[in-house]
Amino acid sequence: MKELLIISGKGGTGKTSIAGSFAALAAPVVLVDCDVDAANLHLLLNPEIKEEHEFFGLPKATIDKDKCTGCNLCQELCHFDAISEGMVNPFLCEGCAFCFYICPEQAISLRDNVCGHWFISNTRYGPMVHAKLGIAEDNSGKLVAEVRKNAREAAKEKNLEIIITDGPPGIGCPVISSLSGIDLALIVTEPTLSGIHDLKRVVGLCKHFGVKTAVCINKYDLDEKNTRTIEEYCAEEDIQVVGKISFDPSVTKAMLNGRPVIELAQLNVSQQINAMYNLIYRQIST
Amino acid sequence: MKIAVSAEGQELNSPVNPRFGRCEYFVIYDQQTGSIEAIANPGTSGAGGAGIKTAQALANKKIDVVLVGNVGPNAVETLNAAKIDIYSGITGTVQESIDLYKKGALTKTNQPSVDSHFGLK
Amino acid sequence: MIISVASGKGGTGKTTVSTSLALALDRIRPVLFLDCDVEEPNAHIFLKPAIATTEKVHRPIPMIDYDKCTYCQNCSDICAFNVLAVLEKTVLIFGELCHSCGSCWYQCPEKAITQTDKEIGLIESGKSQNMDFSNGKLNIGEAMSPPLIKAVKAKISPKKTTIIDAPPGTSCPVITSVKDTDFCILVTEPTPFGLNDLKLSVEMLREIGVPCGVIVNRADIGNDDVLRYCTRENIPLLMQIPFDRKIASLYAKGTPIVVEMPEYIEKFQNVYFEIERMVQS
Repeated sequence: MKELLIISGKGGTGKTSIAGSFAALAAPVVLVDCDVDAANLHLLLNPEIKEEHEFFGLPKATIDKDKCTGCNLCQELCHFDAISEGMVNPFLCEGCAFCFYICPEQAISLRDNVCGHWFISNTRYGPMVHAKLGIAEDNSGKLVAEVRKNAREAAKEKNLEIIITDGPPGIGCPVISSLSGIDLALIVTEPTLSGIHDLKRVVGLCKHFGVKTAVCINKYDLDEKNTRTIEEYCAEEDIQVVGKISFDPSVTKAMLNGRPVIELAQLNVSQQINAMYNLIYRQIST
Repeated sequence: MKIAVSAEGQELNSPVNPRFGRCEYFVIYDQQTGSIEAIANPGTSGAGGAGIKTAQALANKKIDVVLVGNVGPNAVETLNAAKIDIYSGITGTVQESIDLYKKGALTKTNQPSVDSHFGLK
Repeated sequence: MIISVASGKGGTGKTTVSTSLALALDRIRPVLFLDCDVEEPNAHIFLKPAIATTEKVHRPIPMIDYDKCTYCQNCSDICAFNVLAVLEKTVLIFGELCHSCGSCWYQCPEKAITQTDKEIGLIESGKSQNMDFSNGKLNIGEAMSPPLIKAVKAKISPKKTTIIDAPPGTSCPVITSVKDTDFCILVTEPTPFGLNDLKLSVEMLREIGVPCGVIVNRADIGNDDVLRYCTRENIPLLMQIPFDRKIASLYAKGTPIVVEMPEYIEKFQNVYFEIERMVQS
């Protein structure tokens, strides 16, 4: 089983459009959306949900008004400013249970907390595991891990060799959780100063965790000078640039129709994505 | 010598669980008395650090040796500090792995076999 | 007044908007710019501040006083994040898992736990033209950004109009950034991805009670679904920025729109006046 993760550091570089196209090229394949905060891959793959599961976060504190004497000890001690006027703000409570232990009246209990849902679905390219984290919920790293565990099980069950994962943006907790055990992380960047800045930070993160990386420069022809800067940086860091994709409004048009751009086979961008996938496939399958 | 095996059930014929921190049970074999005991793993719940909590629970049970499928870095650090010997890469049933251990057919490790968060995957 | 600029989806032009808004306002009033997108801070690329000070940000994690510790395991029992492993004659502390909740050091029966500082990132501060500027930079490999975001937000001064560049998404780092701001500008693009993520952001802001308005970037690349959604949900449309290769190219080079296209100065100032009117009414 081989796991390919597509990440970007910076959002909006075209990561999901490329993941969707890879899904079409690799089919049958297991697909995963690890951007549990703001998932988009389903908009291209139109999954038919087969299973829905609850995801529990740490239980959150709740105050029993009848027992509370208003001593405010919990409010003083809560490091997350989650308690005021005898009420717990569930969006700020991190579930540490500190207040539960120290309340002199035992007026605080911990309540089960469904903080998201994850799904196993069918798509035209294979099974897809995806999730939706509740609004204002913590724990995205754990939900990412849960989603990935189920993707591996789906791959085993269906005897599929490749898992393609659309990763979250940034370099924080959910990204770290996406990286562990990955065979190759494809970093999709764009030729802008922001893109270059974020590329360097996400490369640093992959190095920190010892993950093998490759780079795709999307919309490379929007600024060829910045594209050269990225290529030089990658050469210095010994990272292969596996693809340079042209800027093409057809990618957006395909998205408006809810399809990966690769399905419009005649396009130049489709050929570029296809060539990039073949290169990556050879790398992860050897 | 007390040997704990990460297991999917509570019996000697239960399959070995490939996970450590998130495995459901440990079957404990006491070499002196020959007794068998199964404990539920307290690490399975919780947001993170399951391997740490599990390792501490095994240390509290005065375990000497643990046989597991995979084990992550935080768990290894805790097990090493608790002076519990680790044998990873174990497959088959609890009984089979205990037999292999008694024959001296297993190799000890003090390195993690997987990245952190493995058990959650 | 504190205005946050956020977007559900990354790459919609959030930083383009926040930096241009700040520069447009800088001409008419005192402005403070805070980049709270600490995982990928980018505003400095556009505002090019002269950084005068750099401060390290820490969060507290437990430390054991072995003269007092009786290895009772109370701390490891109560820790919801499994940070501590209490073994015979030693306590292991896994600081990267710690949420700094304070429970263990407060509750240790022997008062054997004290706090030590774990560095999580830095704050760089300086001036960009007249504007005060600060940004947070999360250390690579550090999972928890909210404490750093809070430290950046501690710079807020009532004397200045504060513009906060928030991270993308709807989870804890975003909430921490936009919480207690007077108004949040949501930047989106007119595509299915943009609309999907805009809805999530609107839901999130309604949960925490921060009023919002929308700026549609690259307004002509997609369809009208975003506009229809805003009308239906009664969300004010503050501005539409068309797709323009000149804007894309300015962005690529790290030049704010208002610097090369002065016609946008008044447009962004008007966005501010409209927000001011809505907040005050």
